[in-house]
Amino acid sequence: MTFVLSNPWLHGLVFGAVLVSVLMALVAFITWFERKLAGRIQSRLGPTMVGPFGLLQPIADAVKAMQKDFIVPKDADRFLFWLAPPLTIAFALATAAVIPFSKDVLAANLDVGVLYALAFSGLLAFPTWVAGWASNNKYALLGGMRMVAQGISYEIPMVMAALVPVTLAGTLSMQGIVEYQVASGWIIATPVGAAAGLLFLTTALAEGNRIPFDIPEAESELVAGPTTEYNAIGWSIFAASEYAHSVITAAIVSALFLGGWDGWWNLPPLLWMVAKTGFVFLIVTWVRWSLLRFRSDQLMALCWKYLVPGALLLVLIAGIQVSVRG
Amino acid sequence: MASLTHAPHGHAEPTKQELIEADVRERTYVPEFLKGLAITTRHFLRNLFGERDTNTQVVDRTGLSTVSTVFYPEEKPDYPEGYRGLHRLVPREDGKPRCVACYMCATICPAQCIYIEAGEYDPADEAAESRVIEKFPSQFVIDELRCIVCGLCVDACPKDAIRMDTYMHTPSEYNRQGFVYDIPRLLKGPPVTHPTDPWYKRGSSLPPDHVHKEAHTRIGEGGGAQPRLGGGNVEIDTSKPVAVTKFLK
Repeated sequence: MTFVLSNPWLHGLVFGAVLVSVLMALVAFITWFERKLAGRIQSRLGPTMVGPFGLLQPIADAVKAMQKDFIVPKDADRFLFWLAPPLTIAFALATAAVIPFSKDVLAANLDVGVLYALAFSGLLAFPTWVAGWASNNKYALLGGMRMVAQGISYEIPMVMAALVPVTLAGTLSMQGIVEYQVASGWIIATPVGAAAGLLFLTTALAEGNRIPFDIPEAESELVAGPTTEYNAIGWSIFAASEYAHSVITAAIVSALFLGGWDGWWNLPPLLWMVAKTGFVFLIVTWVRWSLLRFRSDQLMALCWKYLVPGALLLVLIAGIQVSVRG
Repeated sequence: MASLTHAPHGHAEPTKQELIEADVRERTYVPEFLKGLAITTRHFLRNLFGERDTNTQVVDRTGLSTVSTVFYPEEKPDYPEGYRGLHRLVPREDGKPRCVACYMCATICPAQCIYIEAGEYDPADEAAESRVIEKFPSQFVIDELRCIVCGLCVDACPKDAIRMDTYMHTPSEYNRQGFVYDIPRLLKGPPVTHPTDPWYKRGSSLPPDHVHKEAHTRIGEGGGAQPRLGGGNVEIDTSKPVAVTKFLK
């Protein structure tokens, strides 16, 4: 046991396997949660038939998706078409490696954890583009192009918003940032931190292709964007990775801005981390079922005219704060 | 701030609607965003704690819960008056179809889904109708898969012998043959009698005023004396095979 924990490779392997399993199981039931919440918001009931309160609906969905025939369009690029879903879920789940769940519990305590997380988050635009290109379908292609444009644009304010906790904590390690917050208060509690957190959440919504920024998917004009030609388990993997990415982004927001596993009343740190992640995810879901979709030009205007200068300003203020503090 | 909705060189006065543009408060998104979240939260809490009103006829829900879900197979909404549903062949008082096999409905049917074979009453037979009616349908078949539910057959019928007042839609079947309805499956519902019916010309046991009143009573009217069809409580005899082969290719 001590050997497993002391060897970083084995530790990463074992912890990663557990983390991925738990995350995927969680993602399945998060779809149930989201459908119930959305149902109540829209005066519906959501799933009710499979199991008590429809709780087993995700399992039924998964079984159905696996039973179906995975159809590849005749003119599609077969190899890339097959490659895109596993690539998407791999990039989405890879980010989870650096999330600290407690003082000792994390898959990989990287010195450049924040950079790693943001890099994989940004890479997600790539398999989406692969899916759009490989489908050989104009809607999929347009959706993929929008995803790349949006991903690259929102990368900039996202990284700069993440720079605020990095600057304040003086480290790129996720665990280091959480430990800084344990020592000197949550970053959300400072004005610049609160603004940066809000900005980070907004850009994370855009990165994760969630409403109000789900322009690549835009059902009304692009059918389903990059996933238009996907069905069966291929489509399910895209859907699952979107949820996984949302959950992991919520966890990153909690770690960077909400103090991570820090909490009161001697409750287990893991519980605090899960509770905060759940809270952020609830906000994300709530926003999704409340808002409309932005237009493409509004999206770009919001990013380049407001979020990028705002993020720059926040980084400047954080830098001044740190210099004054000495 | 120049209006985005102005025509580039337009001289016409812009209408009032065109001048409405987002003010500063709306352009910052934030207050409107919070307003939207408040609305969805209100709905969420109302529907979370409220009890679902199972009355399917309510259009405007005024209670705490605004959930308007109807669990369809278990709960069925009443169809509106005049709903064009599954056909029925209207029976006479003696249970035989009113149809005289005139082919009006089969002729007007735009989907050509009605097939009729006429039988002839034996003139030597001394039964009441044989002296006043020449024909009856020996086969009357409707392919409900072809039917477009236009109701023209009902309008065309000179004898009020075919109606669509069952308040049922065509139930599901496991094969196409099941949607081919023949006389045993079509002949159902309350009988209808008109004072002008030819079999009354030789003297009727029913008083004319009663007959007249009954003729204008539709299913579902008249104080609920007759059970309304629909709602899945009609037994349809599917045990007998359909003999006609026209639709079975």
